[in-house]
Amino acid sequence: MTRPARLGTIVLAIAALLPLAALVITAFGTTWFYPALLPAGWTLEGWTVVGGGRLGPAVATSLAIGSAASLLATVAAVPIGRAIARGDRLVARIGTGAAFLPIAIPPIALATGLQLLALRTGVGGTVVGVVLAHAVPALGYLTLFFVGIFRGVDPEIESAAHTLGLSPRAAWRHVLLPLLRRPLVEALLLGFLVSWAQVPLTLLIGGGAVRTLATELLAYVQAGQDRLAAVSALLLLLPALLALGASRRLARTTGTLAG
Amino acid sequence: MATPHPRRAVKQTSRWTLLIAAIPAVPALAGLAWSVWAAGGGLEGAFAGRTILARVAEPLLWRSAAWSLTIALVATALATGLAIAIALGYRGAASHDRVARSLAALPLPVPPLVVGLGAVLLLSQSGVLARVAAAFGWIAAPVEMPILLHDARGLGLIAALAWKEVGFLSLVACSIVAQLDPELAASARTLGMPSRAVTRRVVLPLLWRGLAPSVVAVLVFVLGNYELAALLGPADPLPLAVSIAERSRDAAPGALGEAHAAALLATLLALLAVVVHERPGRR
Repeated sequence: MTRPARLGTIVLAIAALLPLAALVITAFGTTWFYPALLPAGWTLEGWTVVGGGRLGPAVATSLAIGSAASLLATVAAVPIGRAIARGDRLVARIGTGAAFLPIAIPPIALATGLQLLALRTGVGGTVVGVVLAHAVPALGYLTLFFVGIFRGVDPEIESAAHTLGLSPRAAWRHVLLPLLRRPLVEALLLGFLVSWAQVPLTLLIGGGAVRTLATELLAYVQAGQDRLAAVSALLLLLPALLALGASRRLARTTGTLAG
Repeated sequence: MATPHPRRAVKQTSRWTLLIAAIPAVPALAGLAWSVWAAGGGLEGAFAGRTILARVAEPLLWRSAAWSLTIALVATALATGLAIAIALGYRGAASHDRVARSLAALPLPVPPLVVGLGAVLLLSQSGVLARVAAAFGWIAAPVEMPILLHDARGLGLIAALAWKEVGFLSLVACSIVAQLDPELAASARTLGMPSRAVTRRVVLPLLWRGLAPSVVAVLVFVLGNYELAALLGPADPLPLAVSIAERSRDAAPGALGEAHAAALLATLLALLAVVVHERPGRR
């Protein structure tokens, strides 16, 4: 390893790990006055609020909204992704464009438009409204995901099932669903992650009445409550890191990850 | 019972398939339609096309848009440069190369809000960097630490956005470099091209061609990002995303209409970046 390469790796390690280290130190540290490099001591006090106070219900709300939005988007994305993957060139163009639109529009702009829609339909300021709003970008991502999945599934398998006398419903249940078991789990996870850290849609559609972990974190940072903010940030980071670890493990076992 | 004409049946299936395929865009299009209506004065009971134009032409809005676009371009360029440097500098199979690539990809799953808090803890005038500077004797008091957060130059915001996006871009850049045919570089060297020229004239253009769509995706994401702009951006000029949120929560008459006009402008800028990249005839 050459000297510049070693130096580069060290700089990379510091740049990548320092912000995360600062979060961990703040979440577990006691008083940390300037110019001390480390806190005076260590404590779990910040974590006691997870079970109660504002943070506990916010975590529960985030879990519920993330699960519901993910389920809704996955259920809708499977037939849409299949239709696009099996369609002709026009269907593919319109379908991928349609799936890309809610992802390409900045979330705050999307939220501003959906806010009026939510208010007019009576779901503004409710958990249901936030679930529906979170499902909009999730549906975009998951449709693109299932287009890729269905392009890899030979349509002859379905044809063969029909030829052998299975009804369309039975073909779905006995042929397609077993094939899609793993992609479905991955899609549920991806949809959950899209919702889990969502802020603009929650703020504008929830109108302050729906508090999630992400909106609480924003409030803690803006109020200068660093320890609670760091605890919230680590909680917000946890599912993403678990998902990344799981996907890398899965990729390694199937040989799809190099390096 | 009469059986449907085969060609008509195909056309019908196709129409249904088209409708199903278009479903993901329906909520977004409905939201855009509401935004057009509200930006045009629909909320005040007098919709007019010229109201949209007047609201979109507001100088404060353009100041926000220009500032946000500049920050997005600088942050994306910085992240792209770093990602290319990492992909070219650590392209081997040795353990330190793998470690470096993993470190570079680390920010990928970190939510923007968490990146924002990390930046606050690191870059504020009493943050970790200021403490390190004090420990080395470079500064005597927090006020001597340069202001990196909420500043009009957007230095902290650029650093945070670049940190966040280098994870994704380096992952893409590394996989492109890994898939490049080694014969290309070998042939260029055999023809007498020096190593540096091979990188500049053979590897870099191929890498850029593969990386460009991801760079556009990053630019669109960075331009529309609300969380980091809200935590690290200045109060003047207000970043575009923050400006939309502030106006949409403002109770003043007409503020909501202005928020929708700003949202339309943000959407237009984002879609323009995609369209410019996807324009017909582009190689």
